[in-house]
Amino acid sequence: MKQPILSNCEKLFIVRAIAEGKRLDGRQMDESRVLHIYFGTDWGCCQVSLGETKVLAQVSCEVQQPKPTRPNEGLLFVNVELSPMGAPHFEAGRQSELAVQLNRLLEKCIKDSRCVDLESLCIMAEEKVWAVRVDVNVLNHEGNLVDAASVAALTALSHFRCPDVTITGEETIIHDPSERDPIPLSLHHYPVCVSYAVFNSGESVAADPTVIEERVSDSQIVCAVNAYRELCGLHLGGNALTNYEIVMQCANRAAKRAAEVVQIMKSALEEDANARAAEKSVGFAKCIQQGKVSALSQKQLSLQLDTSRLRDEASDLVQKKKKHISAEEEVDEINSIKGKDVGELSVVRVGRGSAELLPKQELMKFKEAVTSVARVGDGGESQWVKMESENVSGVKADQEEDSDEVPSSSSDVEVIEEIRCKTKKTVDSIDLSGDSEEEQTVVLNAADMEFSSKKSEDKSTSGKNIRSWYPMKQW
Amino acid sequence: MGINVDDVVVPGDVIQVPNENDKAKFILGPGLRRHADQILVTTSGVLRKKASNVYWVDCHRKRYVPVKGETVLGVVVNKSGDTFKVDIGSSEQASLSYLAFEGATKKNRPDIKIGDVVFAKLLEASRDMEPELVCVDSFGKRGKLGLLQEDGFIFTCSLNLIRKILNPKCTLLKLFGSEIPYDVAVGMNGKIWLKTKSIKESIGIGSAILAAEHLPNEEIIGMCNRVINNLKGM
Repeated sequence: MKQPILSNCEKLFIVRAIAEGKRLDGRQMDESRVLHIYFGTDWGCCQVSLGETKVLAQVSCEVQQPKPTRPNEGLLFVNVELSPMGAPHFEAGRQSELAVQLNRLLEKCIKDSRCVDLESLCIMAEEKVWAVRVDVNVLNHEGNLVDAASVAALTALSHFRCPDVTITGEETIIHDPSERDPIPLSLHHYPVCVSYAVFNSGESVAADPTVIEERVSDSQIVCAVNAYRELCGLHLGGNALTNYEIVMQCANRAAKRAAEVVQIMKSALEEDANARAAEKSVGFAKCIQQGKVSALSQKQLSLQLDTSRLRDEASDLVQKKKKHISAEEEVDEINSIKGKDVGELSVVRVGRGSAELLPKQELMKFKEAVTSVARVGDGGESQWVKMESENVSGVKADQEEDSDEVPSSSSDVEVIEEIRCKTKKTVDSIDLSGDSEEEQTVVLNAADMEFSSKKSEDKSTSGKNIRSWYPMKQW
Repeated sequence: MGINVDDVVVPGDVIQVPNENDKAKFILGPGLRRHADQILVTTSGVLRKKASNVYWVDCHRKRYVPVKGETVLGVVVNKSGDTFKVDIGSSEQASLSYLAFEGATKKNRPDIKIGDVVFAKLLEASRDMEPELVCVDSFGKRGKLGLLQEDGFIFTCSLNLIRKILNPKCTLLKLFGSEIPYDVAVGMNGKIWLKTKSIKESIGIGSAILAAEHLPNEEIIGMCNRVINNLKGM
């Protein structure tokens, strides 16, 4: 089956919307969809969902003879499988152009960046090495397969455990997992792909494109970046770009996103390890559990108004309230309050599908307050507490309310008290589990970047970005 | 154990209809078929009954099966000879003759490109033949049919939602119409074409239509008002 043709209406609409900075699903231009990682019961098996795009990865290993040119290195294969399950126009069995491209991109990202320590996979030089194979299956294609596949492959690799081996003279014994605990692979760094769609010959760039945005866009940029902000791969697809700055900007943004993704990945891995240690149930059953009555309906509407305006206004209101209170209180009281109430007010974004359980009195207040809604109809999680209307749980804020009403009236944003940690730079907060074994690590200085030399000069002196290959640039 | 109306049925179930006299007639709708002297279920869903003798199976569907006389939205995918091939979401592409437009003659062909969206009526829809579309009524007038403008937006939804918003009892489209000027074309094949003055309004109305799928009528009114307020407030 051929991929259904895209109508001119859709193409034109998307291009116009992107030019205005709007996206169909209400995201910001540089906002990615929600990333979830679930693990199977087996080692090295994980499913990654990026919005509605779903990818499954499974790692397996077997003993093979090494290549004669590299007698003491293990082997790593990456294989991407596109089946009609992902999208009806994918053909089974035959490697399509997209599959080849995906395969190559993943190889570039994982194999060529040498993130897996292949020498540790050697059992006996020139005779026996482990051949590790990563099979990536696309379960659902809703755009940006590259990102989902790279995260899935990498997470599966870091989750995988190889059987333990002992060598006694001529004999090699491969231990059963029940005899000896299998050994995890050693990964030097975590390179993930981050892709962008370029529209209007380089005027607008959208992060994490959906399937329709991918098809309408002029070109796609895929950056493979690790948490150290090292660029491990770059792919430009589609029509030629007219603007070289775009590539630099994308790489810079990709580095930021990669750090976030690696963080999500590590916390997911840790959560799974804890669950296994506590002998709780693990597996994919978790990812199909949804507390919603309409669980099988669309999790998220494909068309959505954007909600960022509400967030911005709510944070303004919080700021106002802070000022308001500080004006009323006496000076010494302010100091004490700042530590407790006012200073700790902050606007926290509540996730799209989330619902807040409100006490009854607050709910009454709430109903009066709620007059406008941005996200509609999606009822949020089912709860046993009876609510007047489904929407109250997933509510949007009333912006015309007084600033005093903020805590109860806003719902897209929720004002809570929280203990504020010292904000760290993302570059620093990353847990570096091992040093990069890149033979040559080229660190670009500000001087190398001609076009950004002005901005970077003052930043490079701060000394915080020494590891970064490219100076931080606000954009 | 017999199957009653409003029960969940699966393919292969046999339905016993109350049969007081042998001459009683029954009308079987989608999801049911007669096999010898039995009535068999062919899709999974909920058995429904209307009037005293009309039965059908109600289920959530996205794949369109052409029905004669329905109006659909389609995308022109190919021009070959004197017909256009139109994708209407069914298993087979429909054909649309270039003569089936108002005022079209052999010399005066309609100006239609590949990728254009047409609103058309199904002239022919049978199991073994290619569905055939027309953009004129039997008087040769176009009415509301024909080529749709390029500056609209088209999106897909389930067939159940289409039936719901086309139901005269559903006030969704009228509610928006009283506040925001817009053009809409709803095809029975689960495609909706929408044109408003701004992109924001298109996205807003589109999301409201999609959100209406699982809401009862009373809640739709509230939801619409919130969306309208939101659009006007911006």
